[in-house]
Amino acid sequence: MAEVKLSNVSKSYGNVRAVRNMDLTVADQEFLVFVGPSGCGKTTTLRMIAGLEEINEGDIYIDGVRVNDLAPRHRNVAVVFQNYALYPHMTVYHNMAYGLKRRKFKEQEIHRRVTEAARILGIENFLERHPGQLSGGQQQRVALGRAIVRQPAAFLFDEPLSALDAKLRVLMRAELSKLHDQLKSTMIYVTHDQVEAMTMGDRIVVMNKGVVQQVGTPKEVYYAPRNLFVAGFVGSPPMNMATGELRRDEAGNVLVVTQGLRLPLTEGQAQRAAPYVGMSVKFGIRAEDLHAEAIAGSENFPVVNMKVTVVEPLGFETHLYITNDHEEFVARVSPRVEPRVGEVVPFMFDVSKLHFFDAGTGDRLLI
Amino acid sequence: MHLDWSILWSKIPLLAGGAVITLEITAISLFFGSLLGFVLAILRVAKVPVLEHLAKLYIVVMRGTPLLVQLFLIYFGLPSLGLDLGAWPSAIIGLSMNTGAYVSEIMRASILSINISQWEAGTMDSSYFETLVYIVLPQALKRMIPPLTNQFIITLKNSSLVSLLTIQELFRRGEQIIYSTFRAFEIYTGVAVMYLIMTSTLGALTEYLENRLEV
Repeated sequence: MAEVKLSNVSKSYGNVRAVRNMDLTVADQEFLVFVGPSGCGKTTTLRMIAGLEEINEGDIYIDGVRVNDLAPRHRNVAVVFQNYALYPHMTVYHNMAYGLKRRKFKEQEIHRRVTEAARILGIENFLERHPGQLSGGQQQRVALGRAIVRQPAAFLFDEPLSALDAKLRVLMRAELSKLHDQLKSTMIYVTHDQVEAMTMGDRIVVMNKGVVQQVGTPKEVYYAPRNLFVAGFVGSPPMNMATGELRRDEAGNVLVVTQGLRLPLTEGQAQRAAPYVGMSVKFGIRAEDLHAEAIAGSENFPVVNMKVTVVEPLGFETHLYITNDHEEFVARVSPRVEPRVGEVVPFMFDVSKLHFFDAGTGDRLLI
Repeated sequence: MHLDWSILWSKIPLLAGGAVITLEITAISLFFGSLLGFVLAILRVAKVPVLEHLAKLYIVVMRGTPLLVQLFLIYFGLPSLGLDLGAWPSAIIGLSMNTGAYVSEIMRASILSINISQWEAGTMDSSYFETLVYIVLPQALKRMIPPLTNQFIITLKNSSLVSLLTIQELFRRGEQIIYSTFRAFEIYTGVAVMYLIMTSTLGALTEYLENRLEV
């Protein structure tokens, strides 16, 4: 158990800067998730913490100790690799025991830890098998077991669930969260899957092009994305985006106006928007904030007629692709709503949930 | 022209004695050649400074020149420098040095074919050489067996060249029998069959070994 601290860490491959000036502290016992598109630097960051990648600039501290020049095996961290990297010539038992054996643990202690980890993971019956004789899910557990027996200061996960089928992935997601509660260890987890990030992380680090875009709880990242990238990356379907202008009408109301929309803001928003009136802005609204059915308070929402172009019934909800001939949005509605393609449906816009961003920098505007 | 195989039958004990010498020279050369090959392979895989490049240079030279020239340089050439090794040491040194170059490339390729994540997982728990010994080599070993078998068979056949260093191995015994009997076809056929028996036995042995090894 330990705090992991990155101080102004950078990594370049030739001219490509994979990670830029990262400052980040992972608290003791925290489950921190790095998420971002491929090539965003999340795995590189994890590998720098593990010691598998050299650090070009800055410092990394584990439990207060600067580890830049420490070999991976002396950093007291355990990695669960994307492809598990189990040793095919060793039994499950010896796969799990290897790290302890090399660290000169007593045979008795090794046996105790391996059987304990196997019990937690439900793989007691496979200890004498070789990895090749196990299913993907079982191999995943062995990979976890190999990390658990070490009782490391921090666990480092590199997209550990990406090779599993969808059903197993959901199961293992819950198990990993449970494991974190059980072990109370610091866990650093890399994924490109935002569902994993949202469901597992105490905090999420959203990265893009080697730069940290936002660090926050899943709720903060979802409800208050710090910039356009985070707004577009987190959430499925992604946030609906449009470009418009903030205007004040004769009655003194502030509206956001696009070619096809005139959405009056709430009073509170209007006050906060005052300095931006007359400016062009990007704004977004989540699919669940476009309502086809009345909800509490929806009598105050502006109503816009939108034509349905695609209907995606998912069973528990339906995604509607809708357009007003200028903007295209996705609405997430109840499966009770069953419009035909081409039908014009009145949608209530929950404008209090609008997100505003600077059209130039993409940074969130506090409106 | 008719063939007289009875001469071959009567000379079989003499040829078999030569085959034993062939096997001895081959076995000793394979032992030292493999040892040398292993060291060269590790120097290159581990990228040991300076030595890595010397190893590469060695391989280029040994692979790039004929074995016969190498053997003659050692046996006939070195005495001019005051170093007269004699037939057997020259034969074994020449064959070992030549085999070592090829073996090192086989071992290097097998080691490099092991997925990098095995190295990475290993180095999270152990030093570079522990990872090499406990994680990578056991897996690489099985992959080495087919190409090594190939190389061992080539070395066995190449050992016929040391007949030119006056060693009384299988091929030279055959030649000597032909000088006195003039039955070239029968005797060379017998010599060929004996090589075939040795190489196919070697092949069968390593195939058995490969199947026995897990992974």
